[in-house]
Amino acid sequence: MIKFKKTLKELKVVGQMLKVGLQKELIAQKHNATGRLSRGLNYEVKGQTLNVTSSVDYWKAVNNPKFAKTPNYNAIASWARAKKGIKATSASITRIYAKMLRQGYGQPYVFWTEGNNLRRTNFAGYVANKFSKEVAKKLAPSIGADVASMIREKIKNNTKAKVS
Amino acid sequence: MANTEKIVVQVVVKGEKDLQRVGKTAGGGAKSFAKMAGAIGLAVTAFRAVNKQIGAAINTFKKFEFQMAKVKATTGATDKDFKKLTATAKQLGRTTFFTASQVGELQMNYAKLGFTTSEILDAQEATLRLATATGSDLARAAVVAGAAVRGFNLDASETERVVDVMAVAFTSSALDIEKWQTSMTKVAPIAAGAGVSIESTAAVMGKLTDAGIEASIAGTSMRNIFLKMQDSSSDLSQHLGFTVKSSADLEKALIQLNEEGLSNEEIMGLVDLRQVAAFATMVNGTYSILEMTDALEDANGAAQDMADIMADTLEGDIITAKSAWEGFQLAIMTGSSEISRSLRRVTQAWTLFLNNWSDDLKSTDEIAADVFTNIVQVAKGQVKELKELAEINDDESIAISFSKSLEISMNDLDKTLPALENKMLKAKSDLDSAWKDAPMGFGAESYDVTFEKAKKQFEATKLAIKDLADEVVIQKEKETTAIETAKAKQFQADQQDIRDKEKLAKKKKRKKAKDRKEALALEKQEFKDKKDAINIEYQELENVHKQALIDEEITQATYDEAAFDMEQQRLEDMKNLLIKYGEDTSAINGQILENELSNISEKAAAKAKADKEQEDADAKVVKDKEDARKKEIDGVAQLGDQLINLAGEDEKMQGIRKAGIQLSAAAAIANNIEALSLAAKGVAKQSTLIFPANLIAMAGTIGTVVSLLANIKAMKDSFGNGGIIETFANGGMVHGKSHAQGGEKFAVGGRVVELEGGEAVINKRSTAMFSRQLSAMNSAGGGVKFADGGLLNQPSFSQQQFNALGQNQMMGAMGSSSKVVVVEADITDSQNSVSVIQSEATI
Repeated sequence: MIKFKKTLKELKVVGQMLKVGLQKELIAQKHNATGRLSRGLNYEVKGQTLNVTSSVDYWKAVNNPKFAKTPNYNAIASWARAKKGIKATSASITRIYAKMLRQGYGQPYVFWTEGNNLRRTNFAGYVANKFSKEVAKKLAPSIGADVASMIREKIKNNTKAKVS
Repeated sequence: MANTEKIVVQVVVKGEKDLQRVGKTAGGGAKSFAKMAGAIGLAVTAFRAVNKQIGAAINTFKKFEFQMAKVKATTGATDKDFKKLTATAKQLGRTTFFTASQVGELQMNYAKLGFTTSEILDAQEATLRLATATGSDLARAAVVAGAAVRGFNLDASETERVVDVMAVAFTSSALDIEKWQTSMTKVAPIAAGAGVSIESTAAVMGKLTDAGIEASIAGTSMRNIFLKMQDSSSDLSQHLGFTVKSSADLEKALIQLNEEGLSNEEIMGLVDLRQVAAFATMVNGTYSILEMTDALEDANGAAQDMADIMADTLEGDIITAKSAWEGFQLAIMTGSSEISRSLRRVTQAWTLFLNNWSDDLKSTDEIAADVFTNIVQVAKGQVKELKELAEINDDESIAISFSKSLEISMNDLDKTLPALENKMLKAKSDLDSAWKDAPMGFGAESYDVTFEKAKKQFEATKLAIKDLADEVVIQKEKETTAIETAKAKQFQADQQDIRDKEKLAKKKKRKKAKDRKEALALEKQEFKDKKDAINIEYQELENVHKQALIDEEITQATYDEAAFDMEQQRLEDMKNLLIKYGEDTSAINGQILENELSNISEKAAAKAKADKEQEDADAKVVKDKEDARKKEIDGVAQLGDQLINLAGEDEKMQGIRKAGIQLSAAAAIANNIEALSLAAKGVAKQSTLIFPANLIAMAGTIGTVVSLLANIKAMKDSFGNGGIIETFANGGMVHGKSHAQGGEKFAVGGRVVELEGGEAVINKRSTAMFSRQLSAMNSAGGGVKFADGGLLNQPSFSQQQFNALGQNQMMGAMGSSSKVVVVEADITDSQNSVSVIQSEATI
């Protein structure tokens, strides 16, 4: 098992960087009404994975307005029965409902495009893209150092290599 | 793990596997270095060992000589046999991992096990291979292989087979030589008695050790199971329907038991508790046992292959070199090897010189032996050359047998006899003439020597021809035997071929059965996966559904209905799956039906509950109304009583008293009507009861209704009798127009009487009872006295009410201070009235 000591340390630095980046982006997109979303951002490192998380449920709806609306089960049921009649089982209705919950539905009220000053969607994706190169630049030296350390350790610990 | 719903941005350091590979490569490099260093170390060690061996050459010979002396003592071999043992010990010592001394030890161990010299010679080479392949010491290998040969009643020449089986068993299962020794000592004689081959036994043993069953337990269990399989009275044999008498029977039994798919409980009924684990492992692993049996039956040469693989290493080379070195030492010391001969080339000239000298000293027999040896060598060479020629030309007619070649050589030699005889005769003649010509015989000595030599040659040749003739006969016999042996071998090979074909057919059959079983297992797994997928999918849908309920997206009713639908849909999907895989659908059909019935029943219960609640609510409203009305009636009655009490006997207050009495009477009537209404409802309700209970209940209630109707009628009639017109029957008061407006007219006793609104009519009885007071009350209000108005002639007071309620009311109306006057006619009438009511009530 490789020990990514330095890399894990660096991942925490990257986590802080991304958190601040996301908070700034939220302000830039005018999503700073109460500050709950901004304050709810946090990061944690588990294994070789860094997760920047949000403690508030509506971050997804802010990031993608398709999730702002919850599908109406009864409306789906009525539509399905009108469309399929007796074949529209509760299972199929629930399947449609679940899919819409998963993927969101409707159209976002503001489209974000490159160069548009009014960025009101996809703050997470924007920040991830913006910082991707910097993340790689920050992590590369620490990963290299960990790998070198691992090889050194392997050779050092291999007692069979000792010539008597 | 963080909830994925909450992850906004994720950074993953990938390529760990690649890095692990780098780590392994780095480790591999280190291993390479280690191996190289180890090799160098070993080479140095080997060099030292060789040096040591050189120094101990003499000791080696001594040791070997001593060891062989022990072998001779143990085996009791003849000189001839002992020479063979020594020669093979040296030869095997040179060419194998083991030294000649170690081979000597092996021979001694076999001798201790009771092996004869020829058996030792048959078994020793194979045992060496076993020891090489398993890395065990020769003594143990000899004991284990020897015990297996003896245990399975095999010939020593089959040691090779035993060793090959062991080699394959050790490499393809968890068996090793120690486990083999522990288990086989217990099971081998029983297995041999059951006709089960060493291959089948080893395969079963391998399976048991693979399953982690300890060797001793495995051996004991197998022994007991084999015994039960041979015992026709045992539960196991009776279950099988036959006893196991061969490997084929064992195979048949295992396949049968495997296909039956026995549970542990059933197995416990067939074997003892202590053998359940081993037996279950055997039965469940039938196909792997059969596969391993095949592998073991095809194990020919496996031990040699393993030994070759082991020898093809640096370590192997060093060990072989060590053995070869000891052989070299022995060769030097005994002088019987190629190496020794090569060394002796140095002294070849000297030897030749000595030989030349010794030729003259040789006897005729010795010369004959030389001739014989030379001829044999020539014949062998000729056979060899012709054989090679035949192979090259692919022409068997060129080939020649050794005896034939020997015969040809002998004939050639025979042809030389006349020449030799001539030579001898000439020498004789020369000798005679020398003796005759030479003075005193001088010079005849050399002719004498020549004659003797010629004579020796002639005689020796004759002897050699005689020996050769004998040898030709011997060789012919040998060749005849060899042909027969070859024929026997060919026969055996043909038989083996037949057996192989049968085995192949069986193998194919087993493979087919195994494939079928695997396909079945695969299908079962596929079925299970699909079943799980359906359950998982519906569980996920259920979760979504529950969440929708929690989020109040749907109502409880919608949720319940959809949950039921989904469950039924899930069961339908499951049923379709069962149909597809040809499984029984009765249970799931039952479940679907049961769910439907349960749903209908639940819906009906809910509806009944709702109806009941509605009915209770309605009943409550009615009851509340009834209570309110009753309260109102009671209030009126109480007011009436209070007015009566207030007025008392005061004449001036009689108007008030009259009003009180009227109010009490009205309340009494209202009560009766109320009771009637309730009783009528009771009849309606009771009619819904089951026959004849409905009739009985209704009869009782109808009696009450009739009684009440009689009361009301009596009370109405009482007003009627008092002169109240029918429309004013509820009260004693007349409502309507005043006299000035024409008054209210009605017929009484055949006359038309006019009353006006606000007036009251009192019946005869009351008038009789209170005539004075009524007169006073009437005049007090501006009316005339009764003396002026007088009493109207009324019909008789026929149907006076007499029930408790009416009587009480009347009594209440009269007041405690009033006098009650009952005339005889009233009593009679009342009795008649009671009779009528009673007769009506008992309909």
